[in-house]
Parts: sequence; structure tokens; C-alpha cells
Amino acid sequence: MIKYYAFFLGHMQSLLQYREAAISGTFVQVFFGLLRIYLLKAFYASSTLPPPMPFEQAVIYVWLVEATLRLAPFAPDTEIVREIRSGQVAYELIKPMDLYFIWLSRSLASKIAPTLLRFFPVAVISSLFFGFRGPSSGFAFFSWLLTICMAVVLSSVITNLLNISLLWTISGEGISQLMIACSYLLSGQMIPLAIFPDTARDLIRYLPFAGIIDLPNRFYLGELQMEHLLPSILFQLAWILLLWFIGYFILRIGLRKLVVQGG
Amino acid sequence: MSNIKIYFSFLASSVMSQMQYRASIIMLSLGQFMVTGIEFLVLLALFHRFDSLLNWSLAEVALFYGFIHVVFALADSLSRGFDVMPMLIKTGELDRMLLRPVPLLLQVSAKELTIRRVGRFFHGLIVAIWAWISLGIPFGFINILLIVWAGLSAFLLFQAIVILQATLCFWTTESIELGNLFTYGGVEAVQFPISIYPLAIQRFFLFIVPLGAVSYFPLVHLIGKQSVYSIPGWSVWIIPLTGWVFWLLSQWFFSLGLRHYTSSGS
Repeated sequence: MIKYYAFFLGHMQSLLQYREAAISGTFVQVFFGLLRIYLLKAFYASSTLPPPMPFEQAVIYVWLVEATLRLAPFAPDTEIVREIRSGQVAYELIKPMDLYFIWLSRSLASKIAPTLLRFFPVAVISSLFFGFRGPSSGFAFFSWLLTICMAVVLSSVITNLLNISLLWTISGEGISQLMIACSYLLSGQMIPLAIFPDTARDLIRYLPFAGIIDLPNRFYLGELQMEHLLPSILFQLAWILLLWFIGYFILRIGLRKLVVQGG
Repeated sequence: MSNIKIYFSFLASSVMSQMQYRASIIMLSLGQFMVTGIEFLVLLALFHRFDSLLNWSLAEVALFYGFIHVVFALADSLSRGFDVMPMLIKTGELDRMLLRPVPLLLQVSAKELTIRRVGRFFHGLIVAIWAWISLGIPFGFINILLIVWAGLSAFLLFQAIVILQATLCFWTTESIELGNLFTYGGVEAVQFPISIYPLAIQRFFLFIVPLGAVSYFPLVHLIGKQSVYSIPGWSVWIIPLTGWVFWLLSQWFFSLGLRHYTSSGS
């Protein structure tokens, strides 16, 4: 366990160095957040139908999305891509450790560090100028924090599936393209899931992506209450376990047929 | 051989080298077609939930959306050389390019024609054609000429932005991400009529990065809607000239940057 923690910590520390990138990233995210909010505002202003959520809440939702943007499972770890290309992954296999958990610790760090770096600047700027508000109650804050932690793990096991797929695809370019699209659409990053047509929305909320962004956001906004907390956590946990087993199993198969080319 | 001929032969060789991996290119293009298609689903979802966007219908917005995606796909497929500018400087590849008797800017812009962008291109084209037909805009010569003229202008604007961004590398060596804010941010903003935004954002895309100006006025004219800004009818032909102006400015700035360039020495 300590060994994996060292991997996690090492990767965390190196990722936390990218502070300048986080500053320019904050600008970009605030800009995109504003565009999204003004778009929603225009739609809200013209609609005669009852809106799926009050506009103020939609604004908070958008800012939460921007602040936690880097939580989503977008692409395989670039360093693992390089390791697989160069064959360096063979050295990882020599270590008396399980490759799945080495990669998982890296994935966890690659979700937590960039999110920590960007959350606060985006949250501060948007709450000062653009209508971002704190959680609706103490319980909302507590449950949001809890579900966000689960979301980090959930996103990491999905990212790890992408890492593992590299054993077959090598470049990972196509799969990350598809993943970015799915994640944007299905996690609520593009528009709040509540805006989708009712049946589509209900179906999407069963998918793991919804558990990463949409679910924590709904606790933050106070839409989900005390009685929803346990089922929600179990929902996230079920997906974590399922995707973990799938990843672990596929990695075994992949390693069995792995050919390390030359030295 | 004239420079234009060289430009196209560079691009042709880039296409041929990518076609060596035919299956991969086809899959990546299809992938991009689907990925950009997902963006359109969001537009559909929004119109399903709220029946209109201020006074704009789905088909009208789709014309803006399709137009800018087609143009951006074209511009993006030719911007690869500028994206790798920091690498060209660091590795000394740029010094080698300077030795050739062909303008540097031409070499950089012809470095690669990224084929897989056809995914976004066709996505935009299909949406735009659907919008065009369902709005009942006649397929007359003048109308086609206007949209191509506007498209060319927006294309030059996108190119100007990446050239400006790459030029900054002569001073900083590292790449500046801020340019992405104008390209990707620009696409994000002007895929809707800019009149839906608050004045500050409208003015930004009218006067500072005039992507909004070169798409909004010609398209509003084609749809036959009243523009929020009262401008004479003939000016929809003049406004796209701003793309040319920006492009020429970026050429001038690039040559200025090149004079300041000192090799990184590798």
C-alpha cells in the first residue's frame, strides 16, 4: 500500500508544479463558463415552457463544472502512452507491484492535482463577479464533498481503462477523442443534464459519467437531499467496483499477450 | 516553380504520407465526425427544452453553427505547422528551413494538411446545407458567392490568429496558450448569432477579434433577418475584408518577429 502511495505522491508533486498552466487555464475556463451562461440566459429568456431548473442554479452548475473540469476522464496518461511506445513499460512489470494499481495511483494524482490547482481560482473569480454561490446548506457541502471524493475514484478507474486500452491501440488518440465527447455530453459538462429531454436525461443518469459531475453538483445545489445520499454513494461505488474488475481483468489478458520488442 | 505551386506540392506530400496509414486516418476522421456530431446533439437538446433562442429558430442557429465549423475545420487542418513552432525553434529545424529559397511562412503553413479534420468539416457542411434548405434560401450565384466570401474571410482570420500566436514564439520560445482562447473560444462563441450575447462580448467579436463580424452580417443577410446593427446592405460584402486586413497584419508581424529571431543553437 505504501509503495502505491509513493507513486501517487510523486506524481502529485510533479503535477502541482504546473501553476502557470493553471493560471492561463483559469482564464480560459472563466471565458468558456461565461459564454455558456450567456447562452443559457438567452435560452431562458425566450422560453415559454417551464425551465428544468432555476436560472441561478444553472449558473452555479456551470461554474461547478468549470471549477472541477479536470476531474473528468479525458485521455490516457501521456506518460503511459510514452512508456508503451518506448517499451519502458517492461521495467514497470519487473517491479514487485501490480501494474493496475501503479497506473491507478497515477490516475488518481492526475485527477486531484489539476483540480486542486484550478478549483479555487475559478471559484473565487466566479463568485466575486459572475454569480457563483456557496452550497445551499451544511449538508449540501458535506454530501458534495463526499460524492466528489467518490467521483475522483470513479473517474480514475475509467481513466485506467483508457490506459489499459493502450496495450491494443498504442496511440490512444481515437479512444480519447471518443471519451472526451462522451464525457462532455454525458457527465453534464456541456449543459446541465436536467436540460436534456426527460427520458434521455433519466437514462444518462444511470451511466458512470453522470456520477462524476452531475451527481455531486446536484447535492451542492440542494436538489438531492439526505435520503438520496446513500443510494448515490452506492451507485458510484457499484460503477467503481464494476469498472475496476473489468479493467483488472482486461489488463491480465493484455499482459499475457504482451510482446516486448527488443532492447 | 512559383511559390503557390510549391505550397500545393508540400501539401500533397503531407497528404500522401498520412495516407500511408489509411485505416487509421479513416477511423480518426469518422471518430471526429461523431465527436463533433455530439456537439450538435447538445444544440438539439437545448432547442427541445426551450423552444427558441430569443428570436432565432433551430435552422437559423444551425446555419451559423455549420458555417463556422466548416471554416474552422479548414483552418485547423492547415495550422499544424504553427502549432509545432516551439518545437521547430528548439530542435533547430527552423534554421534548416531558413536555408531553403522558399519563404518561411509558406513552409510553415504548408507543413501539414491534417486529413482527419474532414470529420468536423463534413459535420459542419451537412448541418449548414440542412439549415440552408430548410430556411428556403435560394441557391443563387450571389448567395453562394457571399457565403464563400464570408467563409474565406473567417478562414483568413483563424489563420491570422495562429500566425500571431506562433510569431510570439520568436520571443518566448514556449507556446502561448492564449491563442487557443481566440480560436476555440471564437468557434464556441460565434456558432451562435453574436447578438444573443451581452454588448461587451458582442463588441469583442465585432471589433477586436472580428470573427463575429465576418459571420454575423453576411449570414443575417442571407437569412433575410433584421440585423440589430443598422448597416447598409452592400456592407455585407465589405465587412469580410477585415479577414484580409488581419491576415496581412499577421504576415507583417511574422516578418517582424523573424527579424528578432536568434537561433536556439541546437
